[in-house]
Amino acid sequence: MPDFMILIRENETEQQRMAPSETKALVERHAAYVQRLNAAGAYRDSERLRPSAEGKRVHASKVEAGPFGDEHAIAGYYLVKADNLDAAVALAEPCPMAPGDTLDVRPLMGGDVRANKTSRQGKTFAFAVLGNASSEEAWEEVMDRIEADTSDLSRDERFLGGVRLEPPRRGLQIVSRGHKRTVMDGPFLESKEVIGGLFFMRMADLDEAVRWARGTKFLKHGELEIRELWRS
Amino acid sequence: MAQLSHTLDEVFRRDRGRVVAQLVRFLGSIDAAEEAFQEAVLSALATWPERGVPDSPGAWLMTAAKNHALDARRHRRVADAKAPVFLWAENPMSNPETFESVGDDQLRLIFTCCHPALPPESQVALTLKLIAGFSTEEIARAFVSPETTIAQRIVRAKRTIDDKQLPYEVPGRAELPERVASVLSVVYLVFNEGHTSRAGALMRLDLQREALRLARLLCDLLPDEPQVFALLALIAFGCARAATRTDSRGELVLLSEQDRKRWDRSLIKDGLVALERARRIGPRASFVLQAEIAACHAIARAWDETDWAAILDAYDALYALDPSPVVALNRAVALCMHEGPAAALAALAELEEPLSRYHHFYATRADFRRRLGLDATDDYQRALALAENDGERRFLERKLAER
Repeated sequence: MPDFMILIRENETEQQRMAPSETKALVERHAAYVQRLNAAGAYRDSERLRPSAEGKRVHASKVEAGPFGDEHAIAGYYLVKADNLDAAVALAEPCPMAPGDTLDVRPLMGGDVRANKTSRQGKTFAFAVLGNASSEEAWEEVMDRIEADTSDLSRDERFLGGVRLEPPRRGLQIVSRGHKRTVMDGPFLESKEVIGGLFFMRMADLDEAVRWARGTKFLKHGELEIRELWRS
Repeated sequence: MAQLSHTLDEVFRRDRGRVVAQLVRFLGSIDAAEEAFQEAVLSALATWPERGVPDSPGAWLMTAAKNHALDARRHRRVADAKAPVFLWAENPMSNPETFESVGDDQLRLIFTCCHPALPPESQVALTLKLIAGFSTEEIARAFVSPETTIAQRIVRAKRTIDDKQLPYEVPGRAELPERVASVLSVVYLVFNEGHTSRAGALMRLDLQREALRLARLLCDLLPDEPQVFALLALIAFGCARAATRTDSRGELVLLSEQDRKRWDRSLIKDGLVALERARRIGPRASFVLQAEIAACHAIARAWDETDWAAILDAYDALYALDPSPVVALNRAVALCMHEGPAAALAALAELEEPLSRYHHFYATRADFRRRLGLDATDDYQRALALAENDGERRFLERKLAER
C-alpha cells in the first residue's frame, strides 16, 4: 500500500488568536485522531513542529530567521497508508484543523522515516526541502539528484529518515472555511516554494543544525527550513 | 564593545552548563572543571574580540578548557608525583563528543547536584551554578542572601560530594524514579522561588525562565519520564501568567483579578502539549495533577468560568497520593468555588492545628468567613502576623481595610 503525507499548514497569526480552551481541544482532538488512524491500521507516523519563529531557513548564500511571513507555515504531519489518493483524502477528512489551516495530501515518491523520533534523548530537527521546479519532469529530476547527492546521509548516525514527495499537482488540498471543508487541487509548481521532502536529524541545538545544513548539497537544489520537533 | 561583551556573556552562560558537565567527566572534579572553564573564558575574551566569535563557541571553549587542564596537570605532575589522575577517561582528548555523551554528561551532573545526600538549598544553589550557569552573586540576589552564605553553601556541597564520593552517574532503573523526583523538586523550587520570592521583579522573571529552560532540558534528556513533562507543563502555565501577577506598582494581583488577555498563549500551548504527553505516557502522578489544575486555570476565559469540578477532582486525587494539610487547604479553596463557602469552612476544621504557622491558612479561612458574612478580623490579623513578604502583608492589610 502506498504512503501519503498529510501536511498540516497553519496560519500562525490566526493560531495566536485562538483561545487557550480551543487550543486544548485541538491538542486532544489530534491525540484522538492518532488513535483513530491506528484503529484503521493506516497510521505510520506523525510529528508536530515547534513554531516557525523558532526556526531558520538556510539558503545557498544566507540564513533567514523565522517566522517566514507566509500563512502556510508547516505545523506538522501525519504519514498514512492508503490504497490511493482518494482513500488518503478520506483519511485526512477528519484530521483536526484550526481556523486558517490547510491540509496538503501528498503521495510519497520515496524514503521512509523512523517512528518515535522524539522518544530518544536530545533534540530532533525537521529539515524541509523547499524547491521550485518548472515542470513535473524537472521536479522528478531534482528529486532524483537530491537522492543521489544525499545517499550517504543514511550512514550518518544522526539521521532519522526522510521522505521525498511527488509534485504537489499529484496531491490534493483540504481547505477549511468555517465548518465546511473543501477539497481542491494541489497548488501549481511555479506558484511558490513547494515542499519537496522532509527529513529528520538529531542535533545538539539549532546552531549545530544550521551549521550542518550550510555544508549540504541540498542547497544546490533549493532551501532548507529547519524546525525543531515538538516533543508531543 | 559593550554589545560584544553582552553577546559573549550570553554565549558563556548558554554553553557553560554543557561544557562544564563534560569537563567534570574528563577531570573528575567539579572544582577543576570550573577552573578550566574560567581559563577558557579568559582565553576567549583575549582572542574573540579581535578574531570574532567562532562558529561553534561551545566546542572552542571545550578545547581551550581541556588544553588548560592538561597544562595544569603537567605542572602538577612535576611538582607532585602523586598528582590526581583523570578519573573517568583514560585519554580525555580522544573521546568522541557524540550527542549522547554530552547529554549524558549533563544528566549525570544534574543527578549529582540534586543528590538527596545534599540539603535541598544546596541542591538548588549547585544546580543554578553548574547547570544554569548563574554566578554566585546572581544566586545570592535570587535568594536574597549574602553572597558569602551562598558561596559557603556551594563550597560545602562540593566537599560533601568529594567526602561522600557521591557518584557522578545516571542512576539505574531501580533508583531512577526517586532520583528523578529529587531533580524535579529542585527545578520546581527554582520556579517557586521565582514565583514567590522577595527578590526584585526582574530576578524573579529570570528564575522562572531558568526553571522553564531547565524543565525543557530535562524533557530532552529524559524523554520517557511523564513527570518531567508534567513539570514542564506546570512551569509553562506559571510563566504564561508571570507578567500579570503584579500590577504596575508591584502589588500582588490574585488569579481571580488577573488580566487573562495578557497571558502568554504560546506558553499555554507549550504547557497543554506537554501535559497531553505526560498523561498519555504515564500515570496521573503528583506533577500531572498539579499541571491539570494549572491547565484548568490557564484555559478558563474568566475566574467564574473555571471548571471547579475538574479542579476538585484533581485535588481529590492529589490528596489520595499526598494527604498533606497544604493539599487539603488548596482543595478547600476549590470546594468553596464549587460548593460554596459553608462546605469549605467545614473542611478547614481539622487543618488549623497542623497549619497554625502558615499565613495562607488564616488568609483562606478569613476569606471563607467573609463570604459567609462572618467576622474575619482575627484571621486576617493572624495571617498578617505570619506573612513572609511585604507584598503579601500589603495585600492582607488592604483586605483588612476593605471589610
